[in-house]
Amino acid sequence: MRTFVLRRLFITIGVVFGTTLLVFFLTRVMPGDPIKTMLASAQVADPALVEEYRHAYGLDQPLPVQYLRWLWNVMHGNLGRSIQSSQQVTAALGRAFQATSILALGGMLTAVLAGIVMGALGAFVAVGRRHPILAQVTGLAPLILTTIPPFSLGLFLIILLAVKVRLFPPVGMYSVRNPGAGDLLWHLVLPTLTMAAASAGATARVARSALLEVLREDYIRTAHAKGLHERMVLFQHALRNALIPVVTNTGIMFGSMLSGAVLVESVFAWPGLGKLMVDAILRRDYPIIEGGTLLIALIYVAANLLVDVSYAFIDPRIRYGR
Amino acid sequence: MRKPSLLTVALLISVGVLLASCGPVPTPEIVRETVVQEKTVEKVVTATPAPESTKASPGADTLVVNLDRVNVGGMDASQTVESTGKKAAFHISETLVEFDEQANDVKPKLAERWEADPDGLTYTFYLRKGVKFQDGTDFNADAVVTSLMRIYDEKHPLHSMGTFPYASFTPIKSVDKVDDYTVKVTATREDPIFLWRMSMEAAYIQSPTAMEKWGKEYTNHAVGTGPYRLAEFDPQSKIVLERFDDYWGAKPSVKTIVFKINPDDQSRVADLLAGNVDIITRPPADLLETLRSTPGIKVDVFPLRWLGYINLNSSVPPLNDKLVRQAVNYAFDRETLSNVLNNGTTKAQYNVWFEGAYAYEPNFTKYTFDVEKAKTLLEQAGWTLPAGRTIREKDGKPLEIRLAQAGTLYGPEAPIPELFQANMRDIGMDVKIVKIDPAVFFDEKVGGVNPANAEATVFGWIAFLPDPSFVFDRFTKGSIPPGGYNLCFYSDPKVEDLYTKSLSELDLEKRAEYFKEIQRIVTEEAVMLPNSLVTLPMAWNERVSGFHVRGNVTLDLTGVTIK
Repeated sequence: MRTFVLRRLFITIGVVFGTTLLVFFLTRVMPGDPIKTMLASAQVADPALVEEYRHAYGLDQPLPVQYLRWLWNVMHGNLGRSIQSSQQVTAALGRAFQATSILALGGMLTAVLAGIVMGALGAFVAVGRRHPILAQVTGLAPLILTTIPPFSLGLFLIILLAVKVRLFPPVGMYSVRNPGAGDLLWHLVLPTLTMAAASAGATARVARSALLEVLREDYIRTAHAKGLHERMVLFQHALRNALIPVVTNTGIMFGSMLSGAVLVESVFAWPGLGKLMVDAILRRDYPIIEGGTLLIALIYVAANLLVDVSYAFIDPRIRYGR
Repeated sequence: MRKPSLLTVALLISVGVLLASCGPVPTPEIVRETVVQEKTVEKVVTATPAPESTKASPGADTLVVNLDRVNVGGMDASQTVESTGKKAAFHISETLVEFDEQANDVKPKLAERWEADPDGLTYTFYLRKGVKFQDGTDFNADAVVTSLMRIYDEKHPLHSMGTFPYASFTPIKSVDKVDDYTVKVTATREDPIFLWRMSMEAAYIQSPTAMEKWGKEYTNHAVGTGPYRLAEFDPQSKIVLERFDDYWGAKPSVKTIVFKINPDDQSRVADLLAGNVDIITRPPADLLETLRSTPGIKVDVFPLRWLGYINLNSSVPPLNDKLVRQAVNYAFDRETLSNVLNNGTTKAQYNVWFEGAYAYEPNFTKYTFDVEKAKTLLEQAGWTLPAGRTIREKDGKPLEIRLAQAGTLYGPEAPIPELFQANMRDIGMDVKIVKIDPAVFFDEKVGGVNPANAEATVFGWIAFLPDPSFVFDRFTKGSIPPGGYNLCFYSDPKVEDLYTKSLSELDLEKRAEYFKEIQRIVTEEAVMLPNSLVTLPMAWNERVSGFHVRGNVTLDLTGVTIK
């Protein structure tokens, strides 16, 4: 187990830097100019000033030098400064990561719980063949959830539950007038639901098909045959074994939720990682793009590693060794 | 289900990056909001109790403003280029003199009075006494010298704390302390509006102690002498200002101002309706009517010194022909653009300078919408319509141009290219619309500034101060890219001469004549297609009154009261 984790970690380093290298050079070869764009917003177009800014951000150096310099600074915990807002990239990423983590965590918990419940219900109903209409509904609902685009669902929820019925705040993370933990939870409801919808649908479908497969296994029949209570069979034998694909799915979900909350974050003005990256790409804010990519790469690698490790705990047949 | 490998993820990011580089994109912001006349929101006296919708927000001590921008930039007024950042930064620090839009001249602020030396270069400012920075530092001559010389003296120890994009607008050579409350400011050249320039970004006075302390981080911790101090700053989501209780001037009534950043139109409106915020900027044009009829909500559009126009590249065919440029000007339906498509958030504009402002020329060549006249002009220019065709031709070449638009970055969000295309089709000109990513627009190879990529570009400008010199440089050779924003690639020795003379002419009357002559020439030559005056639409809770929208994107909230 330990060798496995260590080996994975070792590969990870290479993968992470490969990614940053790729993104570093891609952002630099794509057309556009962060300095000129920024100065244009000040209505200033002085070539000397452009040079001064370029020098200040090290953009006047050859590309390999810029990359090596960036690497050197990363090793020293310095990700540079945003060209647009001149704040430290680490500070910006830290704040954004915190906001996105809260949202992703909430979204994932909701998605997994709702997904498993929906999937289990769907599978049991399908196996029981006693409620044909319910079976249709439980089969269709996840499909609908996965296909609604988050931005339309988000706006729909805002209009319905924040504007028409004033249950929840429409946007933002904290309310200005009385911030606090309760306030954060209250702000979290709509974005979490929006964020969870698609993943819940996906989880439900994975859980349903896995359960259906497991329920056809011999050992389930055996369990029934030896007179175990229906509930015992379902929860103890079937559900637990069906969880493996669900866990895989969850791991991927977490990574994509952290990095892919872009739409939800935009709709709800949630100051997270996705929004930060999109804004940075639109303005060619290289230091933010590079720092953000590094962070997202690390998150992905970590999430995948966690998934692999957790298999061993759920299914004792899986052993990492050698 | 297979796990996506990191390579896939990297590729996805790269694809995103590439997509971002070629599509039309919802925009980052640009600064170009200024006001022709200062407009004050009248206090609303209403006998009816506030409706349900407005009761939601408790604590009348806090004013919440929702700004339509992506992020903020810093809080050092001399460094930030973001209009959102400036909106807040202008409450934190102050200048020696302030520009009064109504009087069209400067008035005392941190300087009580001043004298201009007869040499036309040196100005002596007598500073206000008993003023303190928000960190307790005394405001005096040393503070002024440090604050300005960090920008203008490259050897100043604080020069490396940042970059100062606006330095050239306030051309200072040196600042010298005469005594504790007197400073001498020397300009680099004789300038008729030097004092006006002392009210601009580069002249904001910052606390020397705080600058020493924070260095490069200063812009996140700005300290000034203004009525509000920076309490909390998150460039991605909000700025919190607290009333500065030792402020030297009239103390504002609102204790806390919160600027929330929210670029999404729909949710900004939702936030206002839900009572979570008090003021929002730029509600979408199609929601103005709905908002206007909502009880408890007030809506207005505030005039800005912001001109929307289309650059007509006079260096390449077919627009190098004056007759064609005039035809284009006649054929564009400005009234439809402003009154119908923009729903009144812009106003049709025909001249290149603002009516009512200094040096405005009323007798310019006005191109009122006239399709027949446009057609006649094209005939005169030799562009004829072959039988059975819709596009004119000359020497076997079709009459066609490409119009570039960089998102909404250089003009208001309006279907200007589409309207232009339809209007020009009516006179037999084919227009191809080229959408360019704002971040690419100024790229000399692939951007809109390269005449090889487009013959016309949608653009806009703000006059930082109501003086034509801030924008008429766009008619000079030196401003042809990369030197500036003369995207008409226009150059005329006569205009060049008038502009140069205006820079050093100290007699304001004579100077106005030069500017008027420029307006007559460039409108007759149809150098560009001015189309609209852009306003700042705002919606607010009727409990709020007393804010101003004025020059330099400034939303002045110091006079706000909340009922």
